[in-house]
Amino acid sequence: MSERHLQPVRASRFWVPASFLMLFAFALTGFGILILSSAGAKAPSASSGPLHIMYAQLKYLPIALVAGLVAFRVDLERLRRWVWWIFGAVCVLLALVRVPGIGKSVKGSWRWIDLGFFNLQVSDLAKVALVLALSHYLANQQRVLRRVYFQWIDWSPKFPWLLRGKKTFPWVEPTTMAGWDFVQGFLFPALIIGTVCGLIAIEPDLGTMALCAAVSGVLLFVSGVRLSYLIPAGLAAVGVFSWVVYNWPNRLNRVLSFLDPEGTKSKEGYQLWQGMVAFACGGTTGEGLGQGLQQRYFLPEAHTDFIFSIVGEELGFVATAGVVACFFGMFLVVLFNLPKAHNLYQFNVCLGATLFIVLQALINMGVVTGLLPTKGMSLPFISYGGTNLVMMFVMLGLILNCLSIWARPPELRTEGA
Amino acid sequence: MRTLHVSSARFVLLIIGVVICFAGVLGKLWWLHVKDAPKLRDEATQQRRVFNEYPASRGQILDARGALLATTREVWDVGVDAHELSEADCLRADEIAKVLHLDLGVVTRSFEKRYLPPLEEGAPPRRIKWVKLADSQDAVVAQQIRDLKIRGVYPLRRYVRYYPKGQLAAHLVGFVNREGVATSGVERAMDWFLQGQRGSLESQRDGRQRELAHLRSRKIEPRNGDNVELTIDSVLQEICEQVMEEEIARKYNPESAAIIISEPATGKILALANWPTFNLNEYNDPRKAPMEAQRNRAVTDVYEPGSVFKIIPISMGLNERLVTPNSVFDCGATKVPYRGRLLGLPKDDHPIGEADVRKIVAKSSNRGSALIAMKVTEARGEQTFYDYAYRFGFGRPTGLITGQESRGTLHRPEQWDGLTITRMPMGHAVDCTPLQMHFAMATIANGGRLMEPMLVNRVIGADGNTLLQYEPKVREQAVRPETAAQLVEMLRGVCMPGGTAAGANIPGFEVAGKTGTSQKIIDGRYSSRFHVPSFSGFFPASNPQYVISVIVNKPEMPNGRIGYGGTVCVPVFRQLAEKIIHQFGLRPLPGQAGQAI
Repeated sequence: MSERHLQPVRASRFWVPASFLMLFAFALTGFGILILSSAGAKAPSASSGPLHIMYAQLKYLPIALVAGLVAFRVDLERLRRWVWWIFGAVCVLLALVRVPGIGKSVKGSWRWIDLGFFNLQVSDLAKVALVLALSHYLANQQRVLRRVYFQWIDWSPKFPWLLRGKKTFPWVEPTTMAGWDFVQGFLFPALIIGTVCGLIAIEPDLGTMALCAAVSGVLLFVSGVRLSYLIPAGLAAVGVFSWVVYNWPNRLNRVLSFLDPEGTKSKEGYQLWQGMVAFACGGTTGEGLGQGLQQRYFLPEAHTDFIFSIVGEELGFVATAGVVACFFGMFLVVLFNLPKAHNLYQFNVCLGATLFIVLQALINMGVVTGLLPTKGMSLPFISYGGTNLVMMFVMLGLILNCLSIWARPPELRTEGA
Repeated sequence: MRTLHVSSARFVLLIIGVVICFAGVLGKLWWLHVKDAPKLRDEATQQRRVFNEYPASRGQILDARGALLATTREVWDVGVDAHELSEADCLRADEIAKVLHLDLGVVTRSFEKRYLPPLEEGAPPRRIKWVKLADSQDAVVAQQIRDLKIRGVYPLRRYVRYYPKGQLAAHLVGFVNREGVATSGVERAMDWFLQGQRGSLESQRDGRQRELAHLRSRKIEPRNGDNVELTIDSVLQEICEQVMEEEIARKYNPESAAIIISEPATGKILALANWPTFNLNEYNDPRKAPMEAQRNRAVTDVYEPGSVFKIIPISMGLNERLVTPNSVFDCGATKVPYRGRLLGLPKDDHPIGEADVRKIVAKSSNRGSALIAMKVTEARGEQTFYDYAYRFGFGRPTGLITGQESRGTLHRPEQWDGLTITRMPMGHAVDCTPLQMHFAMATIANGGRLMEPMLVNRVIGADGNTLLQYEPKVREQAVRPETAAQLVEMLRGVCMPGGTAAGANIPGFEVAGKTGTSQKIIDGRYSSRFHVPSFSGFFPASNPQYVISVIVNKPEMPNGRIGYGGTVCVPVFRQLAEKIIHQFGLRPLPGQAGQAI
C-alpha cells in the first residue's frame, strides 16, 4: 500500500484504458448508425424515407453522450448514501409501469413510461439501480460473506456412550453465526435481486429479467457468496424460470425452436432461420453495404434485435468478427483494470456495468446465431433504440468513472464511515 | 501492489467463462458464414427465386373465308388454399357455394383439406396448396369470386381450346388434348406456329412476395400464337358433311366413306369429309368420339381403287403414243398372248366386243384397259407401268401437311405375279388412299401436273400480317398436257349418255369423271358382296375448277344389290356439284346449256 502512495500520478493510467474503451464504444456506435442506414430502410416504423431510422438513432446520440458524461462525473462514493433511495424509487417506477395511464403497453408488454419526448424503459434504470444497490450491499457485507460457517466440534465429552471408548469424534455443525450469515449474506441480496427481477418479470420482459439475474448472479459469485447457497438457489431459479416458460402458452415452442431452426423455419423458428440465412449470404466479406436482401421483409426486427444478422449479410464474417472483437476488447480492458479497484463496491459497480454491456451482447449474438433460445434483446450500441443507446453510454460512463477513480491514489478514509 | 478484492479463483473462473462464451459466438459465426453457408445460401436463393410463366394464347385456325374453326377461350378454375383462410372467412363458405352453385358441404369440406398423409412413415404430412372447387368457369364467375375478397379463395386462369364449328372438318383441324399437346390434324402439323411462346419472368423477390425489379434476370413477354388460314372452305365443307350424312351415311350405312373436293390447278383442298366423324369439342368422350371416328380415313386407310385407276394405263398408252383415242381393241377375247404366254383376261360385266379407247373408258372395260396396258408394257417394259402409276402419286404419300398418311401399295414389277399385268390396269392388286386417287384424277384435270395437296393457305401473325404464304407446288408432270386433254375428253364421255356415270352430267358444266367399283378382299378373297364404289370427277372439263371424289366403303345395299360407283357415288357427286353450282352461282358455259341429256 505504501508504495503506491509514493508513485507519481500518471495520466496514462486512466487515459490509456479509457481511450481504448471509448474507441470501441464509438466504433460500435458509428458502425451501428452506418448499418442502420441500410437495415432500417424497410423497418415498419421507417415512415419518412429509408434513412428515417438512422436519423432517429442519430438524434439519441447527444442524449446518450450527456447521460454517459453524468454517469462519468458522479461521485460514486457519495452515491452510496443514496443507493437505497434510488433503489426504492426504481422499484416504485417498476410497479407504476404496469399502471395504465402511466405505463405504456406495446404488444402486451408494459415496459415504458412515456415522458413525452422520450419513452423511458424503466427496466434499464433498474439495471443501474440494481448494480449500485447490490455492489453497495455486497461491499458492506464482505466480512459476513467470507465467514467460516461450519466448524469441527468435539462432542465426546457430552456423549461418551456414543463413542465406546474412543477419545474424540469429528462432527460438523453449523455455528450460531451461520443463520445470521445466511440471512445477511445470501437471503437479503437475493431479495434485492428478486424484487427487481420479479417486477421486471411481470411486465413481462423475461429477457431483461434473465439478464439482470445473470449479472447479479455473477456479482454474487465473484463477491464470494457460498456456493452451497448459490448453486441450489441458481438451480431453483432456473427451475422456476423453466416452469414459468413451460406453462406459458406457446412460449415453450418458441424457446425450444432454436434447437431445430430448420425444422421450425415456417413457424416458431422463422425469424432465427432467416437470420442464419442472412449470415450465410454474407459469407466472408458480405454482399456490400445496402445490398442485403434479408431485411427486405424476410427477417423481422432486422433493425433491432436481429441487426447482427444484417451486419453479417452485408459486411460478412469480417465485420461480425470485428464486432465480437470490440466487445471482447472492452471486456479485456476492464479486466486488466479491475485489480486496481479501491474497494469491493467500485469493483462490483465496474464489473456489473461491464457485464450489462458484454453479457447483453453475448446473449444477443448467441440468440441470433442460434446458440441460445430466441429472446428479444438488443445488441449494445448497434441496435436501433434510444434507451438502449443511452443506457449503454451510462454503463460506459460508470466504467470510466471507476477507472478514473482507480487512476488516483485511494483517499484515506475509514471504510463505511 | 494490486489487491484483488475478491477470490482470485472465482474471478479467473468468470474470465474463463466469458472467454468461452466469446469463443463460442465466434465459432458459430464462422460456422454460419463459411462452413454451413452453401446450404443456407441455397435456401435463400430458393426463397427469393421468382419464376413465373405466362401462358401464350394459342393461335386460331381459320378457313379460307376467315371463319373460325379453332380458337382459344379463357376459363377460370376456382379453388381454395385452406392454409390462407382466416377464421372469419371460414364462415363464409355459403357465399362461395352460392356463386359456384355448389353444395355447402363441398365447400366446407374443401376448407378442411390442408394436408395429405406423408409418403413415408415419419415424414411430415404434405401440404395441400390448392383444392379445386369448380373448373372452367367464365370471367363473370371469376370476378364474383374475386369480389368476395376471401383470402385463399381465388380463380386461376387457363386457356382452353374451343372449336366453334364442332365436327366441321374435324379430321383436318385436329385437336389439342387436355395436357395442351396438339395431337392431330392441322393443330399438330402447325403447332409450331399456333402454340406461340410462353412468357417467363426470372427474378428475385422480397419477404412480402414483391418482385425486386433491380434483381430481375430475365423477362420474356408471352407471344401469342399465329393464326393459320386453311384452304378449306367451310361452306363447301358443310355441304360435304351434310351430303355425307344424308346421302351416304343414312342411306347405305357404310363402314366408312370419304368425300374430297379440291381445286385442280393449285391442289388446294376445299373440303374433305370423312365418315364416321366426331365433334372436336368432345374428342375425349369415347362414346361420342371413338378412336375409329377420329381417324382421317381419307389419308390413313387404303382401298383398291378399281376402275378409277384405269385412267393410269390409258393415259400411259396415250402418253407413250402407242395408242390413240381411236385405237381399237378386241375386248371380246378371253385369253391373249403376252410375252410368249397366254394370259386370261378379267371379265367385263357388260361385254362390249371390239371397242376403241373412248368406248373402253366410257364403258369402263376391264379387258380393254388390260389390253392397253399390256400393249405398252410389251413395248416399253413393265417398269413403265410402275413408273406411270408412281408419277400419278401412287405408292408414295401425297405430302398432305397433317401427315399420318398411308403410302398405299404399288408393287414393283419384280414383285408381280403372272396375272398382275391384267389385273392392275383395272385397279386391282394396287391400293391407295382416297386422297391419292383423288389427286391422280386432279392430275388429269390439271393438264397432267400432279400437285401437292395444299391444306394451309397462309400463316397470319397476331397483328394480321401474313407471315408465311403457302404456294401451290407441282410435284410432277405425270403426262403431257395433250395426253391429259385427250383423257379429259374421254372422261367427258363417261358422264355422257352411254357412259357408266351418265347420271353425273349437269348440262352446261361439262362434267367429266370416272366410276370405280372394287370388290373388298374379305379373308384373302375378293368378296362378291362387299364393294367399294367410288367416283372421281371434275367440272367444267374445259377449265376444271373442282375435282370431287366420293368413296364409300362397304355400303349396305337394299335387296342385296351390288353397290356400283355408278349407282352409289355418282348421285352423290351430282348433288355435290349442283350444290356447289348453286352456292357459288356458277354460270353454265355459253352455248352448252341444255346440250346433252
